Amino acid sequence: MSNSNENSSHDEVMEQLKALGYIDPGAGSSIWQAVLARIFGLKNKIKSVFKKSSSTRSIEDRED
Amino acid sequence: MEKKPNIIFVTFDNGRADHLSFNGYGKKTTPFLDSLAKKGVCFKNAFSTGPGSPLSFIGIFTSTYPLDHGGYSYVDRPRVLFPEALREAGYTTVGVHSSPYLADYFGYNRGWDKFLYLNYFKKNTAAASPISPGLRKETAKAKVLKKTAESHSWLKKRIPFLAVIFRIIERTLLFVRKLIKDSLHFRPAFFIAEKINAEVETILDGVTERPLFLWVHYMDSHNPYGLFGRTGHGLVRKVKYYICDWAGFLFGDFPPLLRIFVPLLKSTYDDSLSYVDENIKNLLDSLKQRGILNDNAIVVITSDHGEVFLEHGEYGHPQMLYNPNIRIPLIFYSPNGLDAKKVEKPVSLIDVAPTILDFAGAKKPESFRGENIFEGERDVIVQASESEGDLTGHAFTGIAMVRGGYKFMLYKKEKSLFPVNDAEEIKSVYNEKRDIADEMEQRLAKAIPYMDNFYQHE
Repeated sequence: MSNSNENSSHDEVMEQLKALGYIDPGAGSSIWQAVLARIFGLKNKIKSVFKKSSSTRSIEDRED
Repeated sequence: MEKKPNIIFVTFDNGRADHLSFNGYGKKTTPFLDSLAKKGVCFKNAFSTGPGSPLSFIGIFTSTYPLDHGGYSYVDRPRVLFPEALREAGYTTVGVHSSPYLADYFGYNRGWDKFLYLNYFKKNTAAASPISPGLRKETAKAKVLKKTAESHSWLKKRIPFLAVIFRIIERTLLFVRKLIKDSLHFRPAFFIAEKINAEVETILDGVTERPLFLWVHYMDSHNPYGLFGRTGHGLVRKVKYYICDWAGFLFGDFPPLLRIFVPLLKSTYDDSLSYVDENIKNLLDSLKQRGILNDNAIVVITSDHGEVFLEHGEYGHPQMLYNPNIRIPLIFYSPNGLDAKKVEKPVSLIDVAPTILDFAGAKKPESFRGENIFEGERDVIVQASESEGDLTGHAFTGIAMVRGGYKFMLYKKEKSLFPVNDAEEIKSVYNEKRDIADEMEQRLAKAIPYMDNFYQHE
């Protein structure tokens, strides 16, 4: 089989890189990880907003 | 006018120097290369330009350092591939390989009369791919991959135990998927050496012009080791291949678990080196029969980088600058032309292309940084650079210099110095030999205009 080519596509090359372990074969399937990370990220964001607003309040209180 | 010699350039992936028997390895892994090393010029301290195919082959083919000219993701001007210069000098140039990083997609197809990139993932569709060579970063899939990778890193940093548990679950599921896929439609990661040789035979049947430059690259000593054993090389090799393939897939990210398999991984890796050795012999025998390997032909044999088996905590060929990862074999042989000798001076793969061009009487391109390897002694520089698998996002991870019996390393902001023949490279003598280290650091700053970047990398 001779598959000489001078025009390899992105997917062909990437599939081979995946087979050789250069591209994590799990990366595409871990969308659920992404979702979880986003949920935790959001939780932290909300927390930080609360922290920020409470600290702001305390400064205002002191000024009063 | 003297007749130009045919030049045969043989490379193989992952050729760790100290696992080859002509470098004193305990096992007889490479009997044929041992004989060539004895008959030719064998460089005992040869170093790659970086610990990975993209970083190394850019040094081999363009005689530049990987992070010169903005990086190594795509071979473009001002870089010149040495087959381009050979072609200008009247050579017919033929290249056969099965490595994705050396595909036309990354710009390695310039300068060849025949360039054969063998890939089992080639889609056999009638329509040619509309994608032009080069990187295509912004596909929807690439965006999703990037986001999920970012999320995994995020999780790893903030809730590490959860990231590990997820990873184990994910790996197990992927392993089941792999088993199903492999049993239904197995596609090997690369063409094994026997098949590469068969392709070389076919291609050479149609090439009668001389002088000839032939480049052949073998992948067999790359992970998955022992792929050749999957079919037709005995049951023991078959079992070894499967265990190594599965262990690497499941535990590649978990060094404590992978450590159990290291003896088997090393043994199968050694089998692969022997298999490459046997096929280099078959190739050269065939070239002799064809009259290509004649009395004044030049044969150059080398590898792109080494391999580590958890000696420094990691497996494979990560971006580390320890010797097992960057020391490679290098042999020049000519049946009638070169006096046999062993050379101890440190040399770099950056000097291979200029040397080949000198043998060919070809003009050296201005962009080349190397010189003829047989003349003088130069500082050897090796660069490490982390990037994504598709070669996006080059980092200035580390840089090393070999000179005067020592190796200086600046790796992730940490400086160290080792005697070059220190096999362990655990105890740095940086503080004891500060003057040597400082001098090497200054020489690096002079040689590498973008040296400052290496001080920034975390």
